[in-house]
Amino acid sequence: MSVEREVIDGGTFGSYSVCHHSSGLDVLVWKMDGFTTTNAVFGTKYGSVNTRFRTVDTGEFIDVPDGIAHYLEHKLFENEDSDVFSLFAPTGASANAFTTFNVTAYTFGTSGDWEKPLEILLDFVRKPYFTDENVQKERGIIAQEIKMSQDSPDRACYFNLLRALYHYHPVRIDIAGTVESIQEITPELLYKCYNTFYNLRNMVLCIAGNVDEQKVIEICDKMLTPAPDIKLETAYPDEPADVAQKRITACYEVANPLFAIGIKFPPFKGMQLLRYEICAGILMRMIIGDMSPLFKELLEEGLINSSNFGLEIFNDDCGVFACICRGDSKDPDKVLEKYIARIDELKRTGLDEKLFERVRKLKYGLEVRSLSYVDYCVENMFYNHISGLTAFDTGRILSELTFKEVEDAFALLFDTSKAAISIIEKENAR
Amino acid sequence: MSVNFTQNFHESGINVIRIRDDKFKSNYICIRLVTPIDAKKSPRNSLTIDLLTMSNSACPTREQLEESLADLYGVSLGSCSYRMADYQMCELSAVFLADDCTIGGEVISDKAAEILRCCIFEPHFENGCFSEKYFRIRKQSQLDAIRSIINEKRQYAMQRAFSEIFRGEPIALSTLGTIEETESITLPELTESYRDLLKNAAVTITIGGTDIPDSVCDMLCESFAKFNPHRDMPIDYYRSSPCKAETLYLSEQLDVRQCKLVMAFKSPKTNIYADKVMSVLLGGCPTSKLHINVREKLSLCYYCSARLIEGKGTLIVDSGLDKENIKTTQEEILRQLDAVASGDFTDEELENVKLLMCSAFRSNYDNLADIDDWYYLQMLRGTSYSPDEVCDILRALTREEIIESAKGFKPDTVYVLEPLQGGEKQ
Repeated sequence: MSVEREVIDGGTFGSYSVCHHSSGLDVLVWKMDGFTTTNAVFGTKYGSVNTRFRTVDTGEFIDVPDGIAHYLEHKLFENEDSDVFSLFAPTGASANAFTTFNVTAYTFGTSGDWEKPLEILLDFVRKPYFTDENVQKERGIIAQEIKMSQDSPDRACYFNLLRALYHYHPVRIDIAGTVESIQEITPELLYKCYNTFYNLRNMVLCIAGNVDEQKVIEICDKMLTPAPDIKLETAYPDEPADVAQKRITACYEVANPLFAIGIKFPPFKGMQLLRYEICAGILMRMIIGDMSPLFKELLEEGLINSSNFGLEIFNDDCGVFACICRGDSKDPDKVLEKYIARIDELKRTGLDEKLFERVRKLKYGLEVRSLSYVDYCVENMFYNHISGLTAFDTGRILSELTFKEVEDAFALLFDTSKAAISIIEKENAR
Repeated sequence: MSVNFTQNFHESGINVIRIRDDKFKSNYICIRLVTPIDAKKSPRNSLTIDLLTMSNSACPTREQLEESLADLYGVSLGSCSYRMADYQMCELSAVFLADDCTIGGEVISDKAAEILRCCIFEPHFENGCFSEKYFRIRKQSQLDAIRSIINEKRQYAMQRAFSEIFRGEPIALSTLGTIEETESITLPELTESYRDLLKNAAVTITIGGTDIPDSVCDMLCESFAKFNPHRDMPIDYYRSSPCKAETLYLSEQLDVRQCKLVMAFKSPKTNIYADKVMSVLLGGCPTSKLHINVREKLSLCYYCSARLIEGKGTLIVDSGLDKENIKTTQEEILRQLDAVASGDFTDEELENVKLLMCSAFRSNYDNLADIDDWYYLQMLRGTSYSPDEVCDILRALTREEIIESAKGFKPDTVYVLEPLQGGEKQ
């Protein structure tokens, strides 16, 4: 088979190849000298939010139950002859999988032979086997997974925030769906989703570490056949710019109230999204990160706990983009009030350029350090490639980012009228 | 595969590990302070180790320290305290960018090492004690951490089970202590506890990466020697926990949707690697007995896993499940342990587990912190095997040794966390 190859050069930080395989699959290979392990990710641009789609086969848009992408991930580990883990077992490789809002990925890691595990990976993901019996069997397991998540107040706080930020977008729904929604899943629906999203044109294979590019391509040539273009289209509901609700609460058995505060940003795609994401990450650290005056104030007033406070940028090409800070506090509403006040104050007085330079340097250091980890490198390639980016774009942007660009992003993104808070109150406070 | 690893003892009794590997884009320094778990001292040590990363004499405020770390491309300065068998492990570490990866080749490794040294040996004192402000903040943080254990139910169940499984032994105690113990800590006591920790703990210093000169290590050793010039604290890592004459059954109710089951088994014998292989064969991988039978065949749970508490001869199995399935699950777990003890596994199954474990062991070569943990654990075991050497040991293990290992484990405790009476939370 033919392969079109390009090299993504990160200078001193390494380089990798992107091979556009004639099967339709993009194959990314990053050979990391001196490393023992090999990690691979074979994934599809299909996550929990993709519940509405059409192809040349379906004609009209169709809707499928919540949680089906995750259910499909579970079921692919059972093929017609055996449990997939038993195929990996004689190789020593450790196999796994994960489903997020926008992707489903199958992985293996090994410090031994990687060629056989790669063949198994490429084989089992492309051989679905769903029956009434095996689909029914999985329902109990996934129901327990959902119940386990439902006992986590931290997770409840996070997903409630997404429900507060978004009116209609499917990120409002837990990735695994609900105990009720998974009852609707049938072998037919699983096959429909599989045949739609597990098309090689919609998938990416990334492999990093102790690996040989030529052998990877030879294995792909042996294992893969060209995939048809099914004209896949996904659709999401129109999402208003404002938040669905400003405040959402729930009760759990917790020591202190938990909170998650989000500010909803306008959606972007590709490189523009990455630049704004980096700016937003820097801005969050400047506003409420551990070097900021606000963090000092909150900590010293006992309103946050330094060991349980985190910042996050929530974003995806599917139209969601927000900044989130979360932790626990005796008075979450006070934290929100001070956070909003600080943003408004910075809008009036301007950002601190010296702090910007510090944060930029810090983030650059963290990013480059991460490139020593095989698992980070392989996932970094994967997530960036599905967004049309490279694994070195973040480091490159950080090295050239200007204060002006961050100031502009601050003015555009941090609209405090689009803030929401999720609070988990103590059970006995109900 | 080999890693350039050296280990020696400084004349003051400090264990020094050096790991050189130029494939990493970072450097790593880790200081381990080990003391026996003690109801009174351990919570103080936990608080002390946390306070040491808040400020130092060169950066008297937290903000100044954070800025210094950021200026060096984001040095990750960390502290943690945890249990290893009957000992409390207090760790202070610094991870930072390799000098040749900085913009323009700026040399930062010496400055990063100095920050860590200063945090440990020159804390910011006010009137002879730690800063009252940071003491108050960190004490509150420790109290919050103790109370917050209830937030994560699997962790909560495990902690509650631990206190019963190991009742009367040091490992039963949380290194954070209780609310009462932590609340009672005063600032002068904590300052005294800091000196006591630096004087009396067994110390290991690990330097990883290629930029940190030996002089940094010498400087750290000499600083510790000022607290104690002749350190001699042997660590008796293997002290098997006695198995209860009759299995202890206990349950607790909480507002939860899913029950948590924790079962403990104890063995008077230790065959380190056979025990490890046995625990993975039983419940440590997706092809294990518990995963295949309890999860896949019976669909009782999402997870049912086994792990060994090394040093205590204890095997823990835990699972999350519906209340009506508790009895079935307990019986199935016992059946599967008995199956391993009866030799009801194929040579192929055993070989596959060994392969999986060897692959995981060898992956430690690719992470400085992991290979450091590896050699530290080797030291506790009284050996210095590389991952490849342990793979050779694993390969030589016979099925009889695995059977013997499983036969040694007898039921000790069964703990169940279940929903409040009146039904599961809706």
